[in-house]
Amino acid sequence: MSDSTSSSRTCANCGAPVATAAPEGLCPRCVAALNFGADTAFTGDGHTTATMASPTPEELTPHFPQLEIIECLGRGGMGVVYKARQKSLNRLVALKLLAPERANDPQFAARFEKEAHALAALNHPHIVGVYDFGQAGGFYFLLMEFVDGVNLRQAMKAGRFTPEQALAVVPPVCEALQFAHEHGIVHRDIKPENLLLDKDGRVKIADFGIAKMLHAEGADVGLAESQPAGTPQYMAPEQKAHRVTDHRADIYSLGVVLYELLTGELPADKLQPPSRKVQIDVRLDEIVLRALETKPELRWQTAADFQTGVETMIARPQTHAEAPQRLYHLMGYHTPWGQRLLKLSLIGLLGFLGFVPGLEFMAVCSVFFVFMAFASLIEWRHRGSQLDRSLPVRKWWQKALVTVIIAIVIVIPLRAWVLEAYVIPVTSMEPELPAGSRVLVWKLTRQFAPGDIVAHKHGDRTWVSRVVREKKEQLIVQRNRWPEEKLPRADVIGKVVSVFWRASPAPRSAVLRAFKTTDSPISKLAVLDGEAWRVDAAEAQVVSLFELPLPDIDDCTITYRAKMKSEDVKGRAFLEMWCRVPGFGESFSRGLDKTITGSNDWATFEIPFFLKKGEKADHLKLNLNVEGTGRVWIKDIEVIANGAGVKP
Amino acid sequence: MPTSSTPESTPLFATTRWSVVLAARDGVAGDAATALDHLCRTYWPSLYGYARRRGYSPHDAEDATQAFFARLLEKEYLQAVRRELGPFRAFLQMAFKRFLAKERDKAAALQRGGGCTQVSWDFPGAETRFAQEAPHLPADEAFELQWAMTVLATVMQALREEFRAAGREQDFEVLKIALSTHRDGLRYDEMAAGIGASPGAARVAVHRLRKRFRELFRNEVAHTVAQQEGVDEELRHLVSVLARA
Repeated sequence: MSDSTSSSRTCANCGAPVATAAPEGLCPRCVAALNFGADTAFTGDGHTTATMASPTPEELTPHFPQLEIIECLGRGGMGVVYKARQKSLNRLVALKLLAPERANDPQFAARFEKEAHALAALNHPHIVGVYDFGQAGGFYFLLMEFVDGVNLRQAMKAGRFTPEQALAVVPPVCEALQFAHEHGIVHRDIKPENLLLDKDGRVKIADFGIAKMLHAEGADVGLAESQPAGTPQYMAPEQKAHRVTDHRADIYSLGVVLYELLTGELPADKLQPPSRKVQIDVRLDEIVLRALETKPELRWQTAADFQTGVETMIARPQTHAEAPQRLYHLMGYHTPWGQRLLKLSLIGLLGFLGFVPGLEFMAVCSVFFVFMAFASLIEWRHRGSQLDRSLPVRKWWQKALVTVIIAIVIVIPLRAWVLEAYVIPVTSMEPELPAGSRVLVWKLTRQFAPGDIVAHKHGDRTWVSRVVREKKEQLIVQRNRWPEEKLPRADVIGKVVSVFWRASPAPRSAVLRAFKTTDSPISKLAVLDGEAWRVDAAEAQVVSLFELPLPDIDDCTITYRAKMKSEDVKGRAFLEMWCRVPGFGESFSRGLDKTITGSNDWATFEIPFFLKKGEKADHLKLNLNVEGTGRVWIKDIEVIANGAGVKP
Repeated sequence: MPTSSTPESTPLFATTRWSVVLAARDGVAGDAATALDHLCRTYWPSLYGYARRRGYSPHDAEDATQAFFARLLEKEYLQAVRRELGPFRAFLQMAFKRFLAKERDKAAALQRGGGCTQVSWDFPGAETRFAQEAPHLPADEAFELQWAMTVLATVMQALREEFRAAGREQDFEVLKIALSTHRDGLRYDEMAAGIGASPGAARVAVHRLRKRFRELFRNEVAHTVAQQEGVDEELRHLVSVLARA
């Protein structure tokens, strides 16, 4: 960097202090604003009026005998301002000298007078009042109220505004703007430098209408001054584009100021809602962005509207809609996806805690932790660019713990007195409520109608029954296949309001066929002998006993069961079953794991045949297989189906 | 802004430094190395300031900045850059942040200068500036401000050099105030006296100074962006940073 020799001093253009490191000792702000913010077209030699140096207080004294000029407060594009004392009233005033080089411009004189008249009529507590105006000693001057304080720019430099402080600035400014607009005066140069804060914190707008005075359209002011009035960063788009501007340009400029107060930055070309930049109420976005609409007709139409918008926000600082937003920010989740996942985890937690019976909810908490972890991961990825990634992760466990505690505090009373989930332990309400189903019981119900299902205590378990009648001290309830019972009201827990998970009914069983002595076996070898059939085997053989068509069943186990006894059987005797499934063919099942040999008394034998879902068997053959000579008795032959596919 | 499409900036663009570096990022050598070296020499104070703002001691910040540039010139940092990634400023800031994060994790003492040639950077000067800066600025903003100020300083220096080459350095001393003062506030008669010319000639000189300043500024910015379209955006960014200065 080059000669940065000069010590700290102020910029002659904007009045702000210039850093010692500033290149060439020039104020960087002004260099940037002058050379890029606006066109710096050549003013030309033909434009003859000579610019003058700011007169010293001493030089001015002869021209203003009524004033004691104390000091020069600053110089800006609009002129020079002096602090002075008005001798007659002994009050401090601000003397503003406008555009000294225009002293001889008759058109300017006319415009100045017209505007100054209008300004003098603007009597408002939040507008810097104009006491007097005129021309003296070749200067156009305005004698104005002296505001002892700082402008908003200086206040911003001194310390960042809180959103509340920023918002507090807007209503008085709006009020004043509205007042001025109603009087047909547009400020056209609203910016932090023109908003003054006095020592009591009151806001006052300065330099009203001066922009217009200096830059009226159509006036012959030369190329240099055909640039639009105002300060580029705060100018409304239509103002920048030299289009017709009205009071809504002021609303735009004030929007920029508010944006800057809230975020510390000027709105970029790609406008980001303020809440993306700082933690503020999201409702503010709408208010600010509406003021910053490119098209005037989409903005707040009057300053009063803008004011109402802001005041409504101040009056109702919190609504339900923002409460979660606050909570998320509090928990350190700023990204939309982080918040969404967090929402999921919270909903999941509350929901599951309420819906999960017993203590299983402890396991379900893992769902919450998983979503929470995802939320933290997203947050962590997002923060990658800001290098404070460790923060969300470090806080994760704390957050998770706090959330679990809050959730438990909410859920335990909820479960104790209002709503609780139960698992139905018994089959007594089948088929409506299979055992193992989960139901929600609303505990506040005390009136029951016949047909309602109630949950009640029965010993140390929870049962469900259907209400038949209601009596004063008791309910008459009934369960399937049970007689009516009297149920003391004290035992009633509540009404079943929802079956949120229905268990598949318990496996059923049905006896498909039980053969009697009147049925005659297929093979002649089996002869009836009392209650049983007797087979006298002379060699190894398969004795066909019965065949039967099967009903339309699948997804079950078919059991062939019989009692057998034997006498001098050489080798083994056992049951055998053939089952035909259309499309799959015939298969068999043999009871080789339990056979009968030699001489034995009655014993029960059974063999299974498994049918999967979709395997609809239509035909069954029941045989007795004897491997050698001997005598076998068989009786009580049954075919039983067990399983979900069996109809009762 | 009428400056945004001045025809004279177009031919210059073909050889802007950042685009040269990017074009050759598979192997930084020759022109590309020179270009990158030039960019680094110009803009290292921003990184130094950033490191200081992040709590590094002056010594550590020096080491980190030097080590970073050594790596930047040696290693394949640039291959990670996609052409559309944007200006040199953004790349450098991101790369430096990653570098600092890694170095912090390693917690290993950095070798001063590394394997590259020691460059004579004015670290004490940078430290002085750091000490004078507004201390309330966050590191990122401080980086951007320092960057913008560097651009400004580079341009001012170039402008001064041009005047010096023409034997008119004294004129520059007189006229430079025009760059930061609104024309209503300019005292052309005083300037005219300062440069020994008529007020009309002073006006012309001021006009030319401003015009040249704009051109140089634009060129300098163009050197740090990859594509023509990026110039205006980067220019606006710098102006908005300076406006907050």
